[in-house]
Amino acid sequence: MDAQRWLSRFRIELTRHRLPPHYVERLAQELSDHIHDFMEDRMSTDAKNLPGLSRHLGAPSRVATEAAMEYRRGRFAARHPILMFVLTPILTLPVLWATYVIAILLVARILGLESGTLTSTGPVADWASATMPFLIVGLLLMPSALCAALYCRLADRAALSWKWPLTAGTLIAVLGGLAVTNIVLPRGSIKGTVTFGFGLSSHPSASQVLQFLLPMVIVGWTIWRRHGRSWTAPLGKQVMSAGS
Amino acid sequence: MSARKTNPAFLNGIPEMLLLELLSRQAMHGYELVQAIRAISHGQLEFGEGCIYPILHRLESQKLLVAGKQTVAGRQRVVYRATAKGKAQLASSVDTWRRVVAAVTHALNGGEHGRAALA
Repeated sequence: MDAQRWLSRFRIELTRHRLPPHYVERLAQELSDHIHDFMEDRMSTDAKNLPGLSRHLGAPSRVATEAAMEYRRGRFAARHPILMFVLTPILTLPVLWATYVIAILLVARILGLESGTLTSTGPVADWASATMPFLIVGLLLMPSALCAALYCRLADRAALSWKWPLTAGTLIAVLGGLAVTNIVLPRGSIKGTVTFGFGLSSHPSASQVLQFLLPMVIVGWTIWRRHGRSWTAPLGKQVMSAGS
Repeated sequence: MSARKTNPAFLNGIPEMLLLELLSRQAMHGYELVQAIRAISHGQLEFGEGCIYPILHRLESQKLLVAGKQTVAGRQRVVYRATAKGKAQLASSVDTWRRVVAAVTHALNGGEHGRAALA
């Protein structure tokens, strides 16, 4: 049945546009009802063959493109880009840092490092000392990398211009590049400490340069990768036109 | 001059304006809307009927419309109606539309400045 063929092609096109399954279902259901009404109203050949249906409904690919564009235009990030890509990155990054620090403290507590019950020669303390550089690098790099990837994904899903993830990425890079941290494990009578702050000297450390570059590289790579299939979803043809 | 802002988005918003106008009068489902647009425009507005639904869904996500299930002719259908926010948006769009039409009509009729320039 050609109505089924139209709907089936439409579903494939919607999936190609990476629309969520619940939205695909809803659209397909409403269009199925539409086709049902159309066939009831007009028992003409138009209602019975695929070209006829496409003439009235639009080609499945065109309707799916239109649906993807409209779906993305309706998203919160698309409606409030300044809030999403200028203000929230400044808040998200500190939240991720805090989460990371809390996770480190929890692990330290579980291992008994916080209470200082382990001796400096204990196997756990040795293992913790060995992993310390990775924890510090992780604290400085992981949250900003995650944050940059998150905002790239948000911009992609909302079909926004590349300028918005670039803005968010630059803010994250600057904020992340200024971060400095140090973790000292308890050793004997010395208490363990976790310090975290911001600082910039005229000669930034290699770590700070890396902290700045990583989010920019993620954003740049994402923009470059998306460029092949056009960052912004292609605008559909004009939905409505005046007849003569 | 009161309308100094340009309205490129508005010119692309004609389907939205028509949908809000119809749905501010009564709740309708997609197929009814298509028929209603065809009737009120005397068949002058041509469009891919399938494209109506994505626009309806966007207007719903913008809280300009609300959707609900209703039994129509023995079948469960998704019907839409305009919200208070949608009606306010419609009033604003209609006002802008009328000003644009008046300005263009004035220009096409050889408005005062146009005549002076031509004279």
